[in-house]
Amino acid sequence: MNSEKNRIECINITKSFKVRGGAFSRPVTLKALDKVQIAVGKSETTGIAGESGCGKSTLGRIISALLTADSGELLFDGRPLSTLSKPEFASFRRKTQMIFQDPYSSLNPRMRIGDIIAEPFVIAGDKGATSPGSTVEKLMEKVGLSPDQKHRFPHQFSGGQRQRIGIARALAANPEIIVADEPVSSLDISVQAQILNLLQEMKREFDLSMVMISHDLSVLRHICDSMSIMYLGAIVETGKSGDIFDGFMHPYTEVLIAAIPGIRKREVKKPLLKGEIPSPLRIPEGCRFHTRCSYAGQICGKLEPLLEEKRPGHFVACHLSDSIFG
Amino acid sequence: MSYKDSYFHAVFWRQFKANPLAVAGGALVVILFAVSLLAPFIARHSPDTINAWHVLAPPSWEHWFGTDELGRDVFSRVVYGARISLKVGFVAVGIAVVIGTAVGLVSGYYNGLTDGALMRIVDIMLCFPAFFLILAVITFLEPSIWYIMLVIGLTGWMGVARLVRAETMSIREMDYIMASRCIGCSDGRIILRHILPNVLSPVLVSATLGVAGAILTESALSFLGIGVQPPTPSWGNILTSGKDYIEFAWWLSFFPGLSILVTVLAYNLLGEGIRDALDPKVEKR
Repeated sequence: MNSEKNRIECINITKSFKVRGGAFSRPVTLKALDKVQIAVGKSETTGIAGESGCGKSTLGRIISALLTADSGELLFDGRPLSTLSKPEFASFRRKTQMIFQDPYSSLNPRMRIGDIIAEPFVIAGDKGATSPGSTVEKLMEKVGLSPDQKHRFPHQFSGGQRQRIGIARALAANPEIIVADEPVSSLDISVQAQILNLLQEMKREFDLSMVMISHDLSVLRHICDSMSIMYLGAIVETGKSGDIFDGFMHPYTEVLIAAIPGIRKREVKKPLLKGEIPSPLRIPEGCRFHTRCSYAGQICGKLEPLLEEKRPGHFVACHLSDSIFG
Repeated sequence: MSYKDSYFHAVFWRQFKANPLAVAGGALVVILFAVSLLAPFIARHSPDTINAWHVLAPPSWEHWFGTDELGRDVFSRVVYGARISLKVGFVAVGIAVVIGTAVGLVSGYYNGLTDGALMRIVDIMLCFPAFFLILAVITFLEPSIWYIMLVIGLTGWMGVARLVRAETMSIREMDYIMASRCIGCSDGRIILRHILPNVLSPVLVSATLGVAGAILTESALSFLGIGVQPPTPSWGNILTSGKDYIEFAWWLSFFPGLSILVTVLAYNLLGEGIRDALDPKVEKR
């Protein structure tokens, strides 16, 4: 991972939350992210995949500086975020925009959509952003909305249209990086494709780097250049999309790929996944996946595997990957 | 083009119209407003004109609500009393709503120490029985309608503060707040532009109900003689003077009492109507 080409790089990011069970119980620590490394190249799309609760959204929020990591460093164009001055940080924040999963809670219900899209301009000091023929109207057209809808309120739009509004708002801040947190998972299948295509177009047009967070590998395989698979707060496999789809080397990735409907590139040998995902409050000793892994051997419950470069640019954290997939 | 397609028109108004009690309450409130604005035209006599020949006259065509012990027209006094009630109700509640909303927004948005400190102040304020606090303060100050409004307002903001705090805490977690942080909104802008408009509807309900409470408190204070001072007419002090003659001049206590009842009822019905119309869970169709 050389940092010249990378727009954003996460180095050993760790984040935990204190969780209180009840009024009288002692707070417990939930380790949401455990030494996560990830790099997003210039004008590239990076996918982050994993089950619910594996920390993908937390990672997304750390990348967009909505949360701060407990330890580790976030590099932006090779510069650590902690060394940025206040105005530099403010400009970094504007350069990283998020697109949210739930299009119903991501738009202020009391604001007209013209004002929602114009807000980044207004904050930047451009007051006339909503006037006819202005940037806001151009943006609306670009994302497939009609500019004369700018006086409407969010509740008058469908989920797909609302997601377009969210995309327009993100673009209005003139970003370099877009973090899309499950941008299509609450939309109808037919609308999902439209929104993914729109994101692709916008990425090309504005030369954006993108982080796509999804639990659905079929969404990621179409648009990501590289991807990382997360399990219980750690990355278990990372590499180029093609390498991961055609040559996955982690049992968990195998499970996720086997779960994509209609794709059977390799024969599925065993019933792949045992039981439920363990509570992130009690992450298993050794390999965090061994409790559910159908290949797990002796060593897996004792020693935690580290990410190793098995092939150029393809990192896997599994003791047995060579013997299983080799 | 579609300015009228707002949330207000689409949901609120349809719900509100479907509730006859709410509409009745709203209509009564409008009538009360009209009466107090047009008092000089509605009252057929001056509320202060003394007529020694018509002392304690029963209701008649000339004096609709009769006359009092000084021969003053009770109808005129009640009509002018509506002005006082309205003024007290709105100014006192206005003070309470402004303080309560500000405290609630700050407390709900910045949790932690700020929240803890502000909520303890609320708890302390709630420990005092409000009416006796008002009584004690008013007896120290000279009785004036402005003091009454101020004191009612300053002792009535805690409910609003708690309401706004709870609402703020839930809205703070919405994605659109996250989004506005992403685009670079300052905390102040987030609170004023994104949170405040979304907490206003429960505040509106509690303010409407609060007006009824404030009017009741003012009447009670005036009844006890430390509120609005005679000869300025207020429903409370008309009631007081009426209680000495209640055996043979019932109209003196009946009409101001009825006015208080109807007004408080009207604001309560209106408030509950607004609440039901704003609550998506009560939607009937």
